[in-house]
Amino acid sequence: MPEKFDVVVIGAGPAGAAAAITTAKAGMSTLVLERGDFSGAKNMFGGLVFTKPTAEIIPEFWKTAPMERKIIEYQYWLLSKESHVQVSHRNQKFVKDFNSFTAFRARFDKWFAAQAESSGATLLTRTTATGVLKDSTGKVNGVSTDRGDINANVVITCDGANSLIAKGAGLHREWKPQDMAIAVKETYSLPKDKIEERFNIRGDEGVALMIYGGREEEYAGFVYTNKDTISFGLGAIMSDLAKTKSQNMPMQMLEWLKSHPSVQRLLDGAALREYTAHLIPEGGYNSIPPLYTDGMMVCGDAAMLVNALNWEGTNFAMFSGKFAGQTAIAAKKSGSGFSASRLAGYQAYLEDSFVLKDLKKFRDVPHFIASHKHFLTLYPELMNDLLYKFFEVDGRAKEEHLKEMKKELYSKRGRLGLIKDAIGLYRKVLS
Amino acid sequence: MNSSGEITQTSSSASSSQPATATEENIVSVEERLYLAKYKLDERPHLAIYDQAVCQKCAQINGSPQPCMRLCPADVYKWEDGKRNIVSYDNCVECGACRIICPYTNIEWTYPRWGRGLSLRYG
Repeated sequence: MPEKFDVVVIGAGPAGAAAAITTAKAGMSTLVLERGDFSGAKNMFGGLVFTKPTAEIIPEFWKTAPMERKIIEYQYWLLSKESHVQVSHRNQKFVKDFNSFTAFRARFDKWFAAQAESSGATLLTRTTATGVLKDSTGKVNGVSTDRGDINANVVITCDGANSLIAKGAGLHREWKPQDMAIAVKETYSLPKDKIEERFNIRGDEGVALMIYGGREEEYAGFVYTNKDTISFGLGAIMSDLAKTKSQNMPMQMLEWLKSHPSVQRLLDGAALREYTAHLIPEGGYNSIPPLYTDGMMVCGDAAMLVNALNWEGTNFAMFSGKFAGQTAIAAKKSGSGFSASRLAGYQAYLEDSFVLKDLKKFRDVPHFIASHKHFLTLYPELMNDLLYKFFEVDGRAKEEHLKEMKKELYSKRGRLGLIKDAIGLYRKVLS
Repeated sequence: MNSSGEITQTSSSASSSQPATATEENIVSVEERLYLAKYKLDERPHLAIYDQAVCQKCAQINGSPQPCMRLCPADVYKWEDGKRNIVSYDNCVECGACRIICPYTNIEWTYPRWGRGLSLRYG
């Protein structure tokens, strides 16, 4: 191995592999460090990757990438104790031109990192970066690892949600519990024909289901169909969960969701194959740390680049990695080093793209949701009650039902509250 | 660079016994869940409590289970005899929740070395 690399990338997830593909293709000597047994071994996500942004990084990726199912239907379920209200959208357009697909990180990231290798990058697995090296001026000029030090002209850190490298380099402090979600996920195997029957799909079609409500603690659940497995899990904001004084809340909530009569049917008879957990940085725009410093850029989860509202993380990671790579290439061409001023272009790239535009647009949503807990707790319950009364036939006049529905709505939230919520939602999300 | 990471030790191998099925009656324990994963032990613990006295103080102020135990999805932390936070680091799925939620930054949290720890099949 050479004494020094142009670029050392920390982490071979979607951000790191995208960065390495970019710099290696431009002829920069690139080393990617991966702490796992292989790329993807330590990575977990719910399960959705969006097609178009991925194709911008790797044209025609679908010819070789390990995909599970192409999503033709998106569902939202709002739970009450023993019922759910469902909003879903299925479209032939998604069948013809798939908008997203399900995947497994341990397979997709392995494949993606192999693309970086075939672009000319060197991949070093089973190697944990422990910090950065700095020269006398404080510029990052290398990485320390559990196998020794490595010198670099520029470091691109894509070390994931814990972001230990950027923290260690002094770019930001420990994340706040209110900005972080903990997600737990189970993978279940179920015969292909059962999955297709249960979700009314065929061939490589798939369904993505998001679940909210039904208990006091706020959470967001998911069920994704894969070829012959189902991804099932939920995430919840850490500071919320910690208020409940009981052992292992993430797993307890997962067990509760699994036992819900509507959810239980989806997983009935399926065999558990894997259980794991991961953090999701959900603080949004207002919590994004400094994205670069002298000799270093931060990408993906490590830079809190996640749009929790639209369940987007993988694409943000890929694009931020690509932009960091492009910035490194431009800095090398300029021939005047990799100081912070030379890396400022990275932030400009992000600001010009959907990554920071989307995060900026929805910057107040995390706070809005946090201060409007009833959106994910009271409203699902109300909607279930109202629809039950709407459909129920019990020999009374419908007018009485309507009266009851109104009464319940006003007693649980109040007219003023309802109006305030509608205006708030419009301002923060839709306007 | 050394290559000492090549020596591997398997602590809990994948269980080939009947997998648990998702039914209401059948709640799978954390241990059973973790047996499903591939795991190579780093014999040097990658997690540690800096000061047990701080955990005792935390138990008085926040009650027990303490925040780390409430959030850990793998039951790494157990409060023993009302005075010791026992860390089963070989249960760890390396998520980082405990480190962030600890109100006293009392958890020394690093990643396992040389590719050890958890290895996912799906992820």
